[in-house]
Amino acid sequence: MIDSKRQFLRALGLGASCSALNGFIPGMGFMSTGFANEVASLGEIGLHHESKIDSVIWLHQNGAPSSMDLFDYKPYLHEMDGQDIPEHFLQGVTTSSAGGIGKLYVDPKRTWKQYGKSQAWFSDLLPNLAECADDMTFLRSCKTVGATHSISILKMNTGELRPGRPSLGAWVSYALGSRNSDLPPYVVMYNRTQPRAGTPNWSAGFLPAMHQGTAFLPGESPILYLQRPDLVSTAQQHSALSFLKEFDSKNPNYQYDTELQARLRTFGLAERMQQAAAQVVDVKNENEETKQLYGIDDPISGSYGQVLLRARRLVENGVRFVHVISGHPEGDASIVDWDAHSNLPKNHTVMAGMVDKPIAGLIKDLKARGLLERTLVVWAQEFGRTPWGESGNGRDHNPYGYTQWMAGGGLKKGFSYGATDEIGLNILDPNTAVDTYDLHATVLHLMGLDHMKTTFVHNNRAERPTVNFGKVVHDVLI
Amino acid sequence: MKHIVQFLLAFVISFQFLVTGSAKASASEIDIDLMKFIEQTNDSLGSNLMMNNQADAIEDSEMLRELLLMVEEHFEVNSLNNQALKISNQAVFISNDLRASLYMNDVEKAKKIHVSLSENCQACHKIFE
Ligand code: HEC
Repeated sequence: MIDSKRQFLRALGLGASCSALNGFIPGMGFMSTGFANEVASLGEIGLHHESKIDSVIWLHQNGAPSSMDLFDYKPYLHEMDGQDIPEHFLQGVTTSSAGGIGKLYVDPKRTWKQYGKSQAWFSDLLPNLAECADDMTFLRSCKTVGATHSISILKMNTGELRPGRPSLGAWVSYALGSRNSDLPPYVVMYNRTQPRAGTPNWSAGFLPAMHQGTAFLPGESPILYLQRPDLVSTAQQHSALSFLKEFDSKNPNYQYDTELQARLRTFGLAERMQQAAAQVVDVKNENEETKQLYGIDDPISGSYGQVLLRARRLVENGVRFVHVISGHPEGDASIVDWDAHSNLPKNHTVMAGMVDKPIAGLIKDLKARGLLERTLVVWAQEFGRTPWGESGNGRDHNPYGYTQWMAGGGLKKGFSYGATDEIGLNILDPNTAVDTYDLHATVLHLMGLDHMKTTFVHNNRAERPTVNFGKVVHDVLI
Repeated sequence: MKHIVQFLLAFVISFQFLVTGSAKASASEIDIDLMKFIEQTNDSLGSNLMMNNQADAIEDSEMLRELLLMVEEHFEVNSLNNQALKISNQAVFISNDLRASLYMNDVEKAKKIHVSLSENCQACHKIFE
C-alpha cells in the first residue's frame, strides 16, 4: 500500500522533476497562489500567561561584533595564536564568505578580567558593561544561518531569510497592543546611518500595517514634522482629521483595507503624539548626571547614548518594543559598523567605545528607577566572528557559534547558558543551540506570550513569529 | 478535500504522461520540486497544528512521511553522503513519531515534534550549504 502510494507520488513527477504541481497547495487543494486572500485577523492575542516584563529594548549590534574579543574568553585561542586551526574544530563548517580559513588570531593588546559574583569574563573593551555582569544573562551557544549581513539581519528580526515576514516588534504590537495610546507601541531608532536592509527589518509583513515599527530619526528632532504648521489651528487640524476618519470609515472596503486603517490610526496617533511624543523624546531636561551615565558628553558614545536615553524614556512611557540599531560615532568615516574584516582592534575599540557606556548606563538607570525588573534589554547580533584572522588582524563572519545576552525581568541574573568550543567557532553541545527562533520564543515568553499560540491567519495559513521553529530557553528563566 | 486531491493527482498524472521524458533529474541530485512539495506540506502541517485541525494535520503528516521516505530512499540509492542518510533516517523516525502522537490525540506533543522535524530539515540542508 505504502509502496503504491509512493509510486503514485513518483508518477506525479516527484523524485524526478515536474512543474505541473504549481498551484497545488497541501491542505488547501488547488488554487491560484497569486491571489492573496486576506483573512480577518484572529484579533489581538492578549496574555497567555503572567508576563515578566512590559517592554523590550532590542539592541541590534549592526555588523556583528566578535564575541571572543568582548565577553567569550578563550584561553586556548590565546595559546594557539598564529597557528593553523586543528582539523577537528572544522566539522560541519563551510566557509561561505570570501575570506577562507586563515591562522588563528588574537589581538595581542587585549586584556581580560572577571567581574562580579558571577565571575563573568570581560575584555578591556567593555569596562563599563563589565560592572553590570551580575545583571546579565549570557546565551553563549547562539547559532544562525546565512553568511551575509542583510540575510542574517532579516532572520534575526523576522525569522526569515527573505523580506516579507513581520518583525518581532510587530508581533508584539499585534499580540499585546499599546500601553500608551499617545505613543506607537513599536519604535525603531538608530544613530547615524540607515541600517543595512532597512525597513523590512521593522516591517509588519502580513500583519495589519499599523503594527510596523515607527522609525525615529537620530539627532535633536527625532520625529519629522511633529509640529503643527503655524497657519493651521488645533481646532482646524482636528476637524480635518475627524472628517477624514468619518469619510474613510464609510468606504465599503474599510474593514479589509489594513493600509487605510493604518493610515487613519497613524493620523490619530500623530495628533496625540504632537503633545506627548515631543516631551518623551526630548532628553534636554535630563540632569547632567544621567547624561554622563549614558556617555552623552563624549563624542564617541554621545549619539548612541542619546538614543538609549530616549529608549529608557520611551519604555518608561509605555512603549512595548524599542528596536535600536547601532550606527557609528561621528568623525572617522572608515568605521560604519562592527563589521571588522580587517583591523579589528581599531574597529572594536571605536565601536565598543560607542556602546559600552551607554548600554551600561541604560542598565544602571533602568535598575535605579525600578524599571529593569519589568524590562528586557537584549544584545542581539546577526552572527559572530571567526577565531581565525582575516587580512591579518580582522575576523570573518561566523554563524556557527556566538554569544548574545539579555538583562531584565524573569531571568537568572549573572548566569551563562551554553558554550562554544575552545576556540569560539562552534557550539559545544548542539542540544543547547539557541537559534534566532529560540531567542524570539524566549522574549515572547517573558512578555506573557506563547509563541505557538501567537498566530495570525494569512492566505488561509496560521502563521506564528517563529515560523516552524522555536523553543523557549527555559534554563535561563527564574 | 481528499476527492479534490485525487482528482487532481489523476489530472497531473495524465498531464505527466503527455510530457514523459521531458524532465528527469540526474540520479545523484535531489529533486528540488520534491523539496518544495515537502516544504509546502511541512508548512501546512505547522498551520494545521496551530489551528488544532487534527484531521488535516493527520493527512499532512501522512503525506510528509511518504515524502521523507522518498528522501531516505534517495540517499540510500545514491549513497554518497552518509551524514545525509543518517539525518534522513532520523527524519522518517521523527515523522513516524509525529503521526503517532496525532493518532493518539496528543496535538500538543505533535506541535513539539514538528519543531524537531523542522530542525531536522535544517540539519540536512546545513550539509549541502
Ligand atoms: C536528508 C536530507 C534532507 C532532508 C531531511 C530535507 N531536505 Fe530539503 N533539501 C535537501 C537537499 C540536498 C536540497 C538541495 C540543496 C541544494 O542543492 O542546495 C534540499 C532543498 C530544499 C529546499 C530548497 C528548494 C529550492 O527552492 O531550492 C527546500 C525548500 C527544502 N529542501 C525543504 C525541506 C523541508 C521543509 C524539509 C523537512 C520537512 C527538508 N527539506 C528535509 C536535503 C534534505
